[in-house]
Amino acid sequence: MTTGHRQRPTGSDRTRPSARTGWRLGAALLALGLVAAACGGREESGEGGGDGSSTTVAEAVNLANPADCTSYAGTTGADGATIKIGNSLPQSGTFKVFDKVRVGINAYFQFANAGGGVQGKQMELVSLDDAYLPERTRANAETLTQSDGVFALLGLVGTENNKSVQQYFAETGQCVPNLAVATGFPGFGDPAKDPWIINGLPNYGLESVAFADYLEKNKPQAKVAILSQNDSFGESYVTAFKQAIEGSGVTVVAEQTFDPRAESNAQGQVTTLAGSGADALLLGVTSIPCPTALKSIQDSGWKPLTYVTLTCSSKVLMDLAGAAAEGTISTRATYDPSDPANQSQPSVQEFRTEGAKYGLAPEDLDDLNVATGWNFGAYLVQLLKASPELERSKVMNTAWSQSGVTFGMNLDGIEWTTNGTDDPFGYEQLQFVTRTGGKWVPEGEIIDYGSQIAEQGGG
Amino acid sequence: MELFIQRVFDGLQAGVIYAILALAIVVIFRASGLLNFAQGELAMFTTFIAWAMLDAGVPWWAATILAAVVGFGIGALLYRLLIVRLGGPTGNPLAIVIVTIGLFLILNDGAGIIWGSNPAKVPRIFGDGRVEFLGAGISVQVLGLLGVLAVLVIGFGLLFQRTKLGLALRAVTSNQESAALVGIKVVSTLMIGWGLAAAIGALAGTFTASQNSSVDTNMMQIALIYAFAAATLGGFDSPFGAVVGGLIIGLVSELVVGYVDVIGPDLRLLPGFVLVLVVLLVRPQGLFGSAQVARA
Repeated sequence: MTTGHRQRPTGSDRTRPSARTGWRLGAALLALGLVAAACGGREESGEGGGDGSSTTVAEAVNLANPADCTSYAGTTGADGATIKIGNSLPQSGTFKVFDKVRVGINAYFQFANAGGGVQGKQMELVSLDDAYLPERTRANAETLTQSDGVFALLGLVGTENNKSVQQYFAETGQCVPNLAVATGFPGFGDPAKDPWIINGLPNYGLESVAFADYLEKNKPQAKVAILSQNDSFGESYVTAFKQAIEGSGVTVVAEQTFDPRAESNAQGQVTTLAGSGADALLLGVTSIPCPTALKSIQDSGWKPLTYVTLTCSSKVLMDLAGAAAEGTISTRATYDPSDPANQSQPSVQEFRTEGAKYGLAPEDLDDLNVATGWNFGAYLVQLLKASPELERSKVMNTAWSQSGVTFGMNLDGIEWTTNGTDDPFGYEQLQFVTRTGGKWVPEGEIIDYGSQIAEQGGG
Repeated sequence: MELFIQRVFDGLQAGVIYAILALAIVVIFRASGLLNFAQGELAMFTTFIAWAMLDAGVPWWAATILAAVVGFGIGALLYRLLIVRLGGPTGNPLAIVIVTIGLFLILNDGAGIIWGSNPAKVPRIFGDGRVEFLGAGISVQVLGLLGVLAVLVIGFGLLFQRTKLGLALRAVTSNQESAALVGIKVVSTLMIGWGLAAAIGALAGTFTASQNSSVDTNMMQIALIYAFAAATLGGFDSPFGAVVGGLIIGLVSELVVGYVDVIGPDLRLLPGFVLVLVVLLVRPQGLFGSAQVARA
């Protein structure tokens, strides 16, 4: 069987500059020169969905049209004995935690291959390192499509990284599916503009809509403070939230942004927000600054009803926050395999037993990024099986017209549904959870925000 | 008023870390006339060592002290095995500065390889308590750190001014050849200087981890920038100046960002550095540094 992936360093392996490396060196020198400026680098993480029990209804969506492409080859990468899938993510540098997404995808492919693959073909993953640098992601996209001849891309990490790939394809007139990108940036849910890229995580705006909805129901006069990262990740939450509370009694009384590249914690911002008299907080922050901010809030004695992002709700980050996370709320679209409460779920059991069989180490089985990769793999396999044939535009049009699909470790009751430009986001339902006794406890039913999120597209 | 006092406390909380790291930078500069760009990463590395001990069941306060001891060893060995071979301060100082930047990367990646890149949880050395003061709150942790900082600055002031070792350290910095001629063991003395700096750095690292409740491979990078600013502001050869500089930078950043709307968090680095620039224009040696005097 030709399973598995090749992990290959790109270009000049020796230099290996990471996004942070360049910044660090620059920063160190700037420290001498007395001036420093913040610079790029975006951070996303989170959850996806994964296994192929699909009930696809392929309606007549015809968004991906080969006629729009100057350079089009519909079956490249899928016309042999294997289906070659490309991927690019940080395998080195500061953001290499996200390399675990690759580990998860790979394990799922091997699992799928053992079950006969897709249409008798084996899944093959080619993953390249981009160190989270958008220009390297772009170069990787070129290598993957021009030299490796992959059929589609899957699970590319990072908003800016995917934007650079999008631009590369646009400039070269290529039409290659970029599926289940590992970011919830709402701008990738705009098939009228670019039908060749589709989100793999819940739209960040969806969470904001959910929180707004929650406040309107439970705290209709809430005075909300917002602390957000000063990048497209944070902005996605803020924009969607303000839009969602329009016309309601919920108001935003204070806003602060946080620069994860120039500040080690948000103590000052928390002081300002606490002084605003707000009684609710949208914490549009991810990675380590999120639990650190929760600690600062605890220190300040301020007790707002706090929403933490789905990407912050992972076991690793919540464990760091410890008691400071008690009483916070968040949302879920997928099961967290490290949560003891989820161990009896069949999809989690499948992940743990089959994943272990196909190369996942014990620590991988508790890793949300591995779980996300597994879900991406499951998403792709069900999509390829649902597609009328292994042809790029047909796969893409299928991706835009799936109805009520369940796969991977998506929560029971969550149905992945897309319908072209009317409904470009697969995830539209979320489950509210409250941090109680060091665990996430589901609160109420899974809520469908489909109609509300439809207004949010386009970002 | 409460808000103002709270911002002052926030400033002190940030400043105390900058101060301790700046102290480490100044100690190396005083001892060997060099800037160590790897100071922050060395601190991060030793903090991971402390965390490994914590993980093995050692209480956090003991792990902090042991990490400082291990840090001393690493700093001394680094000097003996690497820096001295490049000729110490009499060699090409630029080459050594570049080597410390290399060390920065090696330590950062090394820690990632050894301990993984997922953040690890650490407790607060002085607990989660909080003291109310004029309507604002300051954590017991920060009060404890201010105490440690006071002990350090007095200790190092005495060391440099009142002990034979301090005299030797200053003599070596001033003129290695003359120092050697009067019987000072230059290499051993500098090993101690580098060791001390790394030990202080270890404290800065464990305290940062303690404050954030986590240790990760990038935790000292922003602090290092501020620490360089603090050392520049206070004067590169003054331990007291480094500490005052650190606290001032912390306070100025917090107050300006808090009260001047134009300078939001996006420009958080700016106020401190503008202050440094202004001070340097008036006093090139920094607030407490001694002026360079050249023999005619």
